[in-house]
Amino acid sequence: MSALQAEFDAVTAIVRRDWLVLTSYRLRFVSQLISLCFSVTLFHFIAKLVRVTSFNTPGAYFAFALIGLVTLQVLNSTLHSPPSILRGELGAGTFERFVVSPFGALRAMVAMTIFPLLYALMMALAMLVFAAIAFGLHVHWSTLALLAPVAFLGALSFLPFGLLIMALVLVFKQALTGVTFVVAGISLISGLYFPVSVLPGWMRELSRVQPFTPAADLMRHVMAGTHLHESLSLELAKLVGFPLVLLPLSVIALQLALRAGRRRGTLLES
Amino acid sequence: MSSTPGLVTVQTAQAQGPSVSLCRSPERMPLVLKGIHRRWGRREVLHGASLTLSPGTAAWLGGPNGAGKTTLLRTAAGLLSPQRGHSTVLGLDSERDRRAYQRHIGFLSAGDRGLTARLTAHQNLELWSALALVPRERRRGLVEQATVHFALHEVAEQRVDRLSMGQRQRVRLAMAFLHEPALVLLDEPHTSLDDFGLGLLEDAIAQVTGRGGAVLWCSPSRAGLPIPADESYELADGRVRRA
Repeated sequence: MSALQAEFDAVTAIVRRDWLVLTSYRLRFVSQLISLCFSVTLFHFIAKLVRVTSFNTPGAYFAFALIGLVTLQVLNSTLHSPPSILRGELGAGTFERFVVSPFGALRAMVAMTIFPLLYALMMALAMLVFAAIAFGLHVHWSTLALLAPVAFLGALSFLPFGLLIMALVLVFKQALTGVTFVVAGISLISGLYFPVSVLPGWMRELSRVQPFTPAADLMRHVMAGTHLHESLSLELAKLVGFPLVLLPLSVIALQLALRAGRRRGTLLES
Repeated sequence: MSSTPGLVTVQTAQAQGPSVSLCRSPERMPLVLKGIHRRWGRREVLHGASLTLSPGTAAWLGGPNGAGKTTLLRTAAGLLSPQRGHSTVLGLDSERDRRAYQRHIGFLSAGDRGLTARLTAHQNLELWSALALVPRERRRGLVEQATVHFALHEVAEQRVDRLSMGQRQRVRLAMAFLHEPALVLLDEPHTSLDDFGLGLLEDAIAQVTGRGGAVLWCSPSRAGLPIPADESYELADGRVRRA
């Protein structure tokens, strides 16, 4: 029991460290909040221009795009933030602490994904509250409580991709450059800013075989009451299935990257 | 620990030149490095390096720049896998028993890296105590003990990026000793330390050896350094020899 407790404490120590580092930059939180509020405001006014059959009212598009922004927050928190933190650790030499610790680098890297996710969820909530207060965003309160489990499942389905990118960072060091393109590509094919129905056929096919589209779709469903593109069970199956298959594979990839780095002696190179 | 039963006085098989150490049962040895090979590109830095440290030993490892001192310490610390050979601490293998192995290691890398700059000295120690899987009930006491040992009280609540190099080095040393490891590996530990700091380091090493652990520290030369060493070794041609 005390061994399990020590493991848990190591995880919380990493989450606490990331929180302390964030709050040591006093203006970072405020500036990020302001930047998100500007994005929300921008989409509110863009929505006023939208007069298409896909959306009955500008408000409907605003809600659609806003939930796309929320999904993007979660996406960035799993795909971009942890690999960036890892890159910083390699540069600062703090990663070697994880490697020589009994807690271990593998667990530490998984623990490193927690704080960015919690932070993204907090920011997403702030965006929603701002949109509701400032622009009267219509929220389906009856199903809103389901947002937490859906967001959790969504984050869990994105996590393997984040871990795979971390493995690439360990091996190639410069893998972060490609993440920006990956996130841009995902936001395109998963319909974060517009419905996937407007995409060409081959892109629509791509949108069916990844977890980002059902995550955004389900979040829209529980928050704004939009119709699902596929059956509820199929969308849920995708959100559960992707992490079930990919999470063990991504952990193995991370383990192999660590082992290769220790063997080749490149693990601590920045 | 120094009166370990079952003492067998044989020479370490892989050692070059004179006897490297007395060898007792490997389960009791704070460090056994056996036939370590490591190649960086085409250059073979370690060529069957072997070294055994007995309980209660403080040892110095010397050698010119590029001889492979850091490589050997990093291998012993579990940061590098040996390409051939193996490393054990208290009989635990660095690859096979990785987690248990790391529990017994305290490591100080060369230079001034490895601290989370935006955290205070105290927060860095707390973080390390959690990563070292120190049981919750012992953590506060060990952090306090390390703070006292390395005279960090005055700077404990300061961010480490605002500390002097010598103070930072004391924080790094405190982390290496905090969890009371059986083996402490120190790569150029004297860096940036004044006489007071060197005295604190000397005391900390004495505590580890006093409880039956071992300390291996390295630097190009020992001259003028008051850091204790019961045994002295040097790396030459990729092998460890008694200096």
